[in-house]
This record gives sequence, structure tokens and C-alpha cells, in this order.
Amino acid sequence: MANLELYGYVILFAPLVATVLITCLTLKHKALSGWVAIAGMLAALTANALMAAEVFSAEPGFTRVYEIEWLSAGSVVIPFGVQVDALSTLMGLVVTGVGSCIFIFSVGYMKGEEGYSRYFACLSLFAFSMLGIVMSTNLIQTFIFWELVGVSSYSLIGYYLEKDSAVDAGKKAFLTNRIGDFGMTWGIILLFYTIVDTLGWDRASFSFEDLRLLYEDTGAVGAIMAEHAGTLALATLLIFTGAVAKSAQVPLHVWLPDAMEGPTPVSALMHAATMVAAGVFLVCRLFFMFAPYPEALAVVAWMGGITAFLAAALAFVQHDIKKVLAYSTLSQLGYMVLALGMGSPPAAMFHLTTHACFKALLFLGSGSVIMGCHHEQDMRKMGGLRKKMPVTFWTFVIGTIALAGIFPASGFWSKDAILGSASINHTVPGATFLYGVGVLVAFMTAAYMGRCVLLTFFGKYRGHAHPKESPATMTGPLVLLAVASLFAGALSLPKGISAEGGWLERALVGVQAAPSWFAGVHEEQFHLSVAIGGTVAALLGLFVAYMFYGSRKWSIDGFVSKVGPLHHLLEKKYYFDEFYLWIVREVQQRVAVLSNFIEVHILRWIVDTIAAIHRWFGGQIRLLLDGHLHRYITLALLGVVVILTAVLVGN
Amino acid sequence: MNPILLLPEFVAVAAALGVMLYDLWLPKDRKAVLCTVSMVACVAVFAATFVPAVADGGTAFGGSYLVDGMALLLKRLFAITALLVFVMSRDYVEDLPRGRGEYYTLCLLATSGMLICASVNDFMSLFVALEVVTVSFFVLVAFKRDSTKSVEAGLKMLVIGSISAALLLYGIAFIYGATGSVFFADYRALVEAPDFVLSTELLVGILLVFLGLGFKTSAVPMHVWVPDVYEGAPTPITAFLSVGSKLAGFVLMLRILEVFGRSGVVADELTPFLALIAALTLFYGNLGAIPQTNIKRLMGYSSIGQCGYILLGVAAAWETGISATLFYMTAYVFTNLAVFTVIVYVARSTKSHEIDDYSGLARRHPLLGAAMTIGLLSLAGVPPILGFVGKFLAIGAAFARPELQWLVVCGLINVVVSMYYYLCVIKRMWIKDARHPADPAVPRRVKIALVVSMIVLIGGGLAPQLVEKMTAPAAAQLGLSKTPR
Repeated sequence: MANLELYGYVILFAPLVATVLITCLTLKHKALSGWVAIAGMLAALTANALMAAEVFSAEPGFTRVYEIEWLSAGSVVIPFGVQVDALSTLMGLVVTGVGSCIFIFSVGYMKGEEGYSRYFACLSLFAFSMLGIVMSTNLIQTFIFWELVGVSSYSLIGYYLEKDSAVDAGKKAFLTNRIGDFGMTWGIILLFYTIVDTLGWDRASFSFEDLRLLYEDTGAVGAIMAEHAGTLALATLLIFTGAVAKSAQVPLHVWLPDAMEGPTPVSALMHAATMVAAGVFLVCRLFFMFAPYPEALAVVAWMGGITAFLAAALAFVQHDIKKVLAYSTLSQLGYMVLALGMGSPPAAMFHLTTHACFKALLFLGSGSVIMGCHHEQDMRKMGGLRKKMPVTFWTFVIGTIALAGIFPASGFWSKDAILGSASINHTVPGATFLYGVGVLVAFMTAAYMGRCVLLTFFGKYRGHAHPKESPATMTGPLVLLAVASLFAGALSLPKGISAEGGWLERALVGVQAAPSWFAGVHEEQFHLSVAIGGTVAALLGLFVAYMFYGSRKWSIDGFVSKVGPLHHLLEKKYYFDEFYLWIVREVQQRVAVLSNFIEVHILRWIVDTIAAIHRWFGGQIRLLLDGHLHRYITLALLGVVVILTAVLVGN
Repeated sequence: MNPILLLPEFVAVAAALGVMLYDLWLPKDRKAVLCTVSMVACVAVFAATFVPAVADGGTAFGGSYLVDGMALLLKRLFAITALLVFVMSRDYVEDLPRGRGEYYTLCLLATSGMLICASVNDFMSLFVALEVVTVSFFVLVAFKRDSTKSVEAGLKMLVIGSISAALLLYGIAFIYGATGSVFFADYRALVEAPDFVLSTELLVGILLVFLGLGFKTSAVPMHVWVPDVYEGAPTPITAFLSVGSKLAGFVLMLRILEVFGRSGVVADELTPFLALIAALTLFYGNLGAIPQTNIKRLMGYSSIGQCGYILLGVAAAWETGISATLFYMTAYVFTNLAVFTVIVYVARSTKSHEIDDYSGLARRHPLLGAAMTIGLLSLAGVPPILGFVGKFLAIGAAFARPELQWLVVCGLINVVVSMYYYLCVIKRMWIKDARHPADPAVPRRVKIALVVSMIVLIGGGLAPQLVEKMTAPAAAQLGLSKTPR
């Protein structure tokens, strides 16, 4: 097991080494930069696979923390290190595995771009930041890497520097995430303060494992924690706002669709597979903080359910193929958060894993399509690509099946796990309603994905380019991801299908740490009724899509005219952007004008006066030493006399 | 009697004499070899401090000479200082019309004086060692004989240096009169005796010694020579003065503090005295730096200000304070020498020391710009650079003593004030457009030195415990009280 520490640090630092190498050495050698980045990622993947071999063969709940003392102040130590357990290993595999595919895909996709090396440097920096969150042992380390992820995401969304919309999207993502991070900061502070205040400095810590001990204590400490349940639940929810922003949950979801301005592989890696999943991962990591507070979990569940539904509806009115996928990502993230709220982190992690595979696949597929159509993203100008891009088509279809949750693709199993957890939950108010929303979203998912596939690949080609299949560096990763999308469900077949029950369920036993009221809620059973319900909903969705866009038996225009206002509401994205703009213009701007007045007329005067006083003294002191030696001598000896007198008389 | 303890000094003196002789044989255009020899000598001095017989410590010459943790640490710092000064000197000396050989000899002699300063254990050796350093510097400061500024600087330094030597001797005489001995070992026994009573003569003597040493450390009121001399001296010599000579003064201050500070009575007298000097020095240096337009003069005032921070740690006068002081000095070596290296090479291309001529440096020469920025930020005490940790520890040590809280406030005010003038230089380098299109040509050895310094500054700032591992035991070995009195 001694190697685990080494593996952990290799996973963490290999991408950083690649970033540094590219930035310092290979910036001018484009091809080399790409391969350096890929080498870094593959090194991390290898280390992660070796780690997985050891961790997953160990007993359930296996956890090792390797850390060094990074900063210390009094009795509080801020460590830096790697935490090796099933959760971090699994998440690491998702990041490095999907990441490797996307890095390789990028070689083909980004060919000939101006900032090719910069792209790979940023991508490697992102991988480092993301793996930093995954491997982190404590809240402070997590927060640092959390911010780093924000920075690298910003630089990649705005990758096309010359495009104003890309730069604006980068800013929007950054600022929206800032709001979440603000809440998260306060959450961490409140949590720390509460612990110091009630348990004293000795128990104060940022480390996950230390915190977990506090929360799971059944003795005196546990009693004190229970007394402050209100404050602690508030801290938990504040930390959750960070996850809300990063995982793009309503109402902080507005940045994700705009983030599609970045290069498509970036959308695949960060805004579909990994970065946006960081919020879900964080909640899993901190699940012991949520578990004791049913109210907090209810908030989480409702937030997930609402996001899943609202985003799925928006996906219907998009014409940009990437936007469809973006809203679909939002909706699927909502699913994961719903599962968390229902008290089933394994289901959330399961869906996170399968989703990473098939959504990355779909994004890369859309990238291949976009490149084939000469950077055309509008589905109205596509069509009939089935014959022209066969590999892309078949892999895209596999991705769609997985996303829609059709048996036996991976999405079927993970979606079933989530719906199952919702169907049996009896602690979240309105759990049955949320279960219904889940099934409805399954229907909608299949429908909008059916629309997407039919518009893109079937019918006649409506564009003006000459689409052709993409090179092997692009189709290779597609095939790999397609295989993963089909079979990732095997990771965790539920009880009733396989003898031992969900493998993830057992591997992640440490995450769950259930208090007593929780027992038995999340036992992952295969529920035939749930599975049938979900599948029927999905098939119905595909059927509806076929009737509208395949056979054209139902008129889409007629339907739209019947639900006019609703359609308008969707086109306007529920007026979220307008609402935020209004807040910025009307509220924030007025506060800013007031602050500006205070600063210019009051604060600056104070500051200027203080500065002027110092400058005046400085000028006087400068005059003391004006070059005349006799004056220097007088000054020195006078000083000696005065100081000696002062000290001697002072006694 | 254990002369092997003096191995580092032997190496330095032998190198000085060797360079002087070798100079006679060398043709005029090959004097650069002497620089290489001197640099090798510095490495040898550094290595000599690790020879077990030296590193184990002990005393020699009947107790006049002492090697302990602090002495070893300082000797290593002096070796590094001299090495970095030689790195930046080579091209500078090549540009001099004459006296290239003497330059290296004198620098090595000064270094040997500093090495002895770290180890003195009686007042006679103290005075001799100090004068070896000071006299070498008189010549070096006036080395550009055809420059009035340089000669004037040498003269000013000589006059004020003599006065300070007189103060020092006066103080030593008082102490001798009060105790009848010049040996530190006797003083240690005396002040630790239970029936020790502090006489006024002894106190005056100690205070005068500190004031005399203030000349080297550029503490108020013996700081008056600093700006003129820093401006007039050849730039590498300014660097050497600002680091080597200053640290020699500080190691002597710490030694005397260690000797007399064992007695609570003396320490209690010294604390307000040192605190007063520290506060005056802080304000003098940092306020005086604000209106400066010449970078060397600015660094002169900055060096006075930095002296104030080190004094802040010295004034705290207990183990943590000394440890902080040693840490600060270690950080200061790398910081100040990096800044001066940049100054030397910028001046080579612009022929100017005006701060205005640093405009656009960061774009013109990113390495020089980066080194200067990191160096100045370290002087200002911005995390995560080594200088920040030094300031943090020094101010923290003073903070632990309730009667020094006012000094802490002074220290913090001055951090803000100093931030202003350091950032003004940085702003010029990064934001203003370049005045001089000429790119400074920087040889590879200087690039390496700058990169290494930057790595030390940032690496040490991120992992200060690595530096503390060297400074804390050296301070603990001195045997001062572990808790503030």
C-alpha cells in the first residue's frame, strides 16, 4: 500500500508538470505541446488505474490520507495531501479516463489553431485543478483547487480571444461561479467558527476525516453538535451554494449554456463530464455533513428536481447542437443532485460516471459533426449526415441511447438507480412528486435527444459544406467512449440482477455514513416497476420525437402555435438572464454609484491626506541628509547623546 | 587551541593573498580569471563550514574565538553573499579602468573579516575583525577614483566610520572598566552570577557598543552615511555593503545580546533602548525612501528600513526573536542581492540609476523584471515570498512581549509605507512604456544566480519550515530565555 501515496501525487502533479513544460519550453512547438499534455494525462491515468487496482480490492470503506503540514497557525494546521479512497479513485478515473480521450480528440480538432499550445497548457492546468479537488484532503485545499478550476475554465471558455461572445461567456461563467464561491467561503468560515466556538481550538480542523469524526460522534461531542444543528445545517447549505454554481443548478445555471462558446472538446471535458460534476462530487465528499439534516437534503433534492425539469424543457427549443447538449447536461446534473437529496450518493456517483462517458461522447460527436460541417453548429443547416459520417453517427446514436436510458446501455442502470432512490424515499417532503418529475424528465430527455439525432443525421443535408468523416485521432476516442457508454452500467448492477448488489454501493460505503433515521433508505434494489416506468417514458419520448421530426406526421409549427406563451417563455429561457440584467442595472448599479461617491469624496480624501502626511515627512527627512558631512556628524552625535540620555534618564 | 576551527577564514585569507599574487602575473585582458578564482574560493569557504571539525563547533585561541550554530549559519550566509557579489561584479569590474586585481583581493579580505565577526568571543577580536571589514570597504567604496561621487562617498564613510569606531572603543573601555576583562566568557559568568548588580558604567558601555555597531547595521543615529555612500559606491560594493557589512554588524549585536542578555536585568534595560532605535530606524528609512528618484539611494533608505525590522526582532531579545532575526537575515541576503544584481545589469545598458529608467523593464527583459519584482515584493513583505515570513516572524516575536506592542504598531505602519515606494518601482517596470529600447545583455551565470534566488525566495516562502530548520536551532543554541520576560 506504500505506493498509494506515490500514485496519488503522480495523479495530482503529472498534468501540472505538463502545463509547466508547455508554458516554459514547448510553446513554439505545437505538435510537441499536444503530446506533452497527453503524456501527462496518460501518466495520471496509469497511476490512477494502479491505484484503483489496490483500492477496489481492499475492504469496503478503505481510506488512506497522506498529507504534509502546509501551513500552521497556533494549533490549527492546514494540510496539503492526497486522500485515497473509493470516491476519489472513481472520480479520478472519470477525470483521467474521459480526459485522456478528450486530449487525444483535441489533437485532431484543434489542428491549425493559433493558440494550439496555449490550449493544451490550459487543458492540462484544468486537469491539475480538477484532480486537485478530487484528491483533496481538506476544505481549504479543495477551495484552492475549486478556484483554480474556475480560472482554467475561464481561460478555456474565452479561448477564442478575438470573439467577443466567447470572452463575455468566460466572464459570465467566472462571475456566476464567484457568487457560489462566496457562499462557499462563508460556509467554510461558519463551519470552522462554530466548531471552534463550541468545541474549542483543539478540535478545529479543515480535514474531511477529522470533520467526519465530529459529525459521527455519538458521545459528548455529538451531543454538542446536535445542539447547534441549525447553524451547522446553514453552513452546510452555504457550502452547497458553491456546488450549485459549479454544477450549474437553477438559479446559478445561466453560465453553462453560454460556456459552449469554448472549443467543443472543452465543452466535453469541463462543461459536461468533469468540472460541472465537481459540485456533485463535493456533496458526496461532504455527505456526512448533509446526512444529519433532513431539511438540508430536502433543499438539495428539490433544487435538483427543479433543475432537471426546467433545463430539459429548454433543450427542446435550441437550434445549436451544442446548446441542446448543454441543457441536457444541466438536466442530468439535476438528476444527480436529486439523487444526493434523496440520500443516495452512490446513485449520484454512478450517474456521474456513466454521464461523463456518454455526454463526453455526445459532445465529441457534436464536435466531429461541427468540424465535418465546417464549423456550423446550427442543426437546421445539418441533416442526412448518417451516410457521410458513419462512425460519428453510430457512436452518437449509442450516446443518445445511453442518455435516454434505454436498456441495456449504461444510462438505463444509473437513471434507474436515481429513480429507485426517489421512489422509496420517505423523508423528503414531496418525494413522490419528485419521483414523478424524474420520470417526466426521462420522457423529455428521450424526446429532445431524438429530435437532435433526427435533425442532424436523418433527412436531407441542408447546409452548403461538404461533410466528411473526421480523422482517426477523433473517431478513435469516439469509439472508446461509445464502448464505455454501453457497458459502464456493469459497474454497479443492482441487487436482483447481480447476486451481490451494486458494486458502487459497496465501494462507496464510507461515503454514506448514515445516521439512524436513514437506515435502509438507500439499499439499492432493482425495482421492476421503476425500470419499466422509466423505459416506457423514454420510448414514448423517442416515439414523439419521431412523429414530429422523423415521419413529420405531427406538425411542429401547429404544436408551437397551440402553446404559444409557453414556447415564448422557453425561448427566453424563463427570463433568467433578463432578471439578472435587471438586478445588475437597477440594483447593483445604484449601489455602485453610491459606493463610488463615498470612495471618491470621502475615502480618497482620507487616504490622500494620510499619504500627503507621509510624503511631507519623507521630504523633510530627505533634507536632513543633504550631502554636508559636518551636518551628518552633528546629527549622528546629537542622536547618540539624545538616545543615551533618554535611556539613562528613563531608568 | 583548535586552529582547524578557522578553516573557512584560512581559505578566505589564502584566496585573498593568492589573488593578489596571481594578479601580478596576469596580463591586463585576462583579469576575469581572478573573478572565477574568487568565486571558487567562496564555494570553498561554504564547503569548509561543513567540515566535521568545523561544523561540530568549539572554541579556539584561549576562548577568543567561538564556533556555534549562529556562527556557522552566518559564515554560510557570508560565503553566499560574497559569491553572489562576485557573480554581479565580473562585468562591472571589467569595465573599470584600473585596479581589477585589488578589487577581488579587497572583497575577499572583507569577507574574511565578516567570517571572523561571526565567531568573535572577546572585544579585541571584535574590534579587529570589524575594522578588517570596514577598512576594506573604505577603499572599495572609493574604488572609482575618477568619479567624484565615489571618492566623496569613501571619505564620508571614513569619517563617520571613525566616529563610530571611537564610540565602540569608548564603550569597550567602559565595559572593561566595569568588569576588568575583555573576554565574553567572563561576562557570561559575571551576569549569570546570582549577586550580579548592573552598574551604570557597564550599562553605558553596552549602549555605546550597540550605538557603535549601529554604523555597520545602518541604525539610527549612525545611519547618516548610508544614502550618499550607497549612491556613490560602485554598485556591487553597495550590494556587498548592504548585505555583508550589515549582517556582520548584526551578528555582533546578537553576540553581545547573547552575552549580556543572559541576565534579565540587562535584557530589561536593553529592550526599550533597542526598541527605540528600531522605531526611529523604521520611520527614518521608510519615510526617507518615499521622495527618492535614484534607485541606489532608494535602496539605501530601504536598507535603513530593513535594518529597523531586524532590530525589531533583536529588541524582542528572546529565543524566538533571535530565531526570527536569523530568518530575516537569511531572506535578506537573497532578496537584496537579487535586486542589486538587476540594478547592476540595468545600469550597464542604460548608464543610469534613475528609477524612471526602469520603465518597461518587465517587457524589455522579463527575467530582470521578474527578479526585481520578486525581490522588491520580498523586501515589502508580500506573501508568499520569503521576506514576508521574515517580517511575520520578527513582528510576531515582538508581539509576544506586552511592552513592545507599540513597536509592533510602528512595524505594521511601516510595512504599508514601504509598500508604497517598492510598488512605485514595480509599477514603472510593468505599466510604463520603456524609455530605453536597449536590451540589457545578461550573461548566463547571472541568469542562473537570479533564477536560483527567485526559487529560494518563492520556495522558501511556500515552505518556510525548511529555512526555519536552519535558523531555529542556531537561535536555540544561544541559550537565551525561551519565553518573553
